[in-house]
Amino acid sequence: MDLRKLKKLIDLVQESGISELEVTEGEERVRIAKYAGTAHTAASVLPASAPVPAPAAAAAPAPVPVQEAPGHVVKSPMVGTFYRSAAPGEKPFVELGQVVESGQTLCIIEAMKLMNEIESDASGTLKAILVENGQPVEFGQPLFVIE
Amino acid sequence: MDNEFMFIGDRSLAGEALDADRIRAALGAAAGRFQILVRERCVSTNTELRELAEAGASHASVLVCEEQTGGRGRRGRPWHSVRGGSLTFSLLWRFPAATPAPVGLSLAIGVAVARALDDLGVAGLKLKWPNDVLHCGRKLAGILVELASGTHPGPVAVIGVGVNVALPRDFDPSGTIEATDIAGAAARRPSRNRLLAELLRSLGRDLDRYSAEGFAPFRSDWVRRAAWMGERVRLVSEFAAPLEGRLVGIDPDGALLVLGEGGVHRLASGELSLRRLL
Repeated sequence: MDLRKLKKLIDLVQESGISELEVTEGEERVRIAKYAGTAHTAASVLPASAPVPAPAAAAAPAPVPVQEAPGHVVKSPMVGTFYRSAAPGEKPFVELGQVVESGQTLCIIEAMKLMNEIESDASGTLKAILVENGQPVEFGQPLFVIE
Repeated sequence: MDNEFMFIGDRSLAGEALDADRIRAALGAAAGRFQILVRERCVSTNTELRELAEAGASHASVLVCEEQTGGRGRRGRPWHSVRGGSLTFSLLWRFPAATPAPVGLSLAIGVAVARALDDLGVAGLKLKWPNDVLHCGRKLAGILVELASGTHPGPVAVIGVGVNVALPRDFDPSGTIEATDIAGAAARRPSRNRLLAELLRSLGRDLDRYSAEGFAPFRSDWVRRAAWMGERVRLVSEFAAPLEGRLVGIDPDGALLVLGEGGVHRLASGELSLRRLL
């Protein structure tokens, strides 16, 4: 994996609310973990066959436990505004901790009145909602973590 | 959603009933492209066409209804229609896999609708960002584009269009902007069958163009028609403080550019209005 790509992934983790991201590409596996309370990130590049190490906190000044198994990340398919409900004042499509099914609507992303209902592409428990209601999101930005 | 402003039974407005054969006849050579479905009553043509899309409805399916009881606009706002006096329809478009990200699509559709209405003799149409069609500062048509999910490799859009054709005199949708209708804006009022055919012809042509080239070829036409260009406007959004400033243009992807405090702001959602100077 080239450095530019690695840098982009680190930025992505830094800007998001997720604590850890793991990407497998061919024979390489990259795991990026963020330490709570600082913007510091650490990345480790490993061969894909190697076991995933315990929290990669070797260089961390104040190690914070990093969750194992980051879960499935649902990402934004486009640039736009993130909405958790169909209309102002309505109940959110999903709540933290709820069990969601594949195909269930999670949120709406709007770009200039183009409304895109984002459906879950996995079933499981909603572990994290990474974006605040009404905030702008970028293409590929992580929105939800499902475990 | 209940529609408080239905005027069911006002037959003086009705004119010719919607009819698939008449629509196809008015489409002429383009008739083969579209699958036309006429319904007496729908809650929302967009909701129902999205369901049909998920069940496998073919590309370029059109759902048009005489009476829409729960028409929707942006963020759950109601779209008010009048039996016989409105045209409400949705068009399903399955874009090819290589289509650019459909971010400027809703503005391009605004241009396509305005072009069709130009051809029907409605002069001086403006587009209020992102895609409301205005005539003399009043709303003539509204558009809501929703992306549907499924296994199709390209984007799948359900394009809802509502046109005010002949509104009762006492029509008052209590919206942020006054309404107008084709009967008042066009020299000659076309039947709704012909109006739909013209809109579909224009949409078909422009959606093909969008598939190949994205928003770029629509941008100059959109800017030429932009309502309130250079004027003081206000953009209200759900989660941010209202923004006031001078409307200076749109970005290449269709985002609104407003010159306000601190420079030019780029905005991708919200409700635009003209700022009334006291």
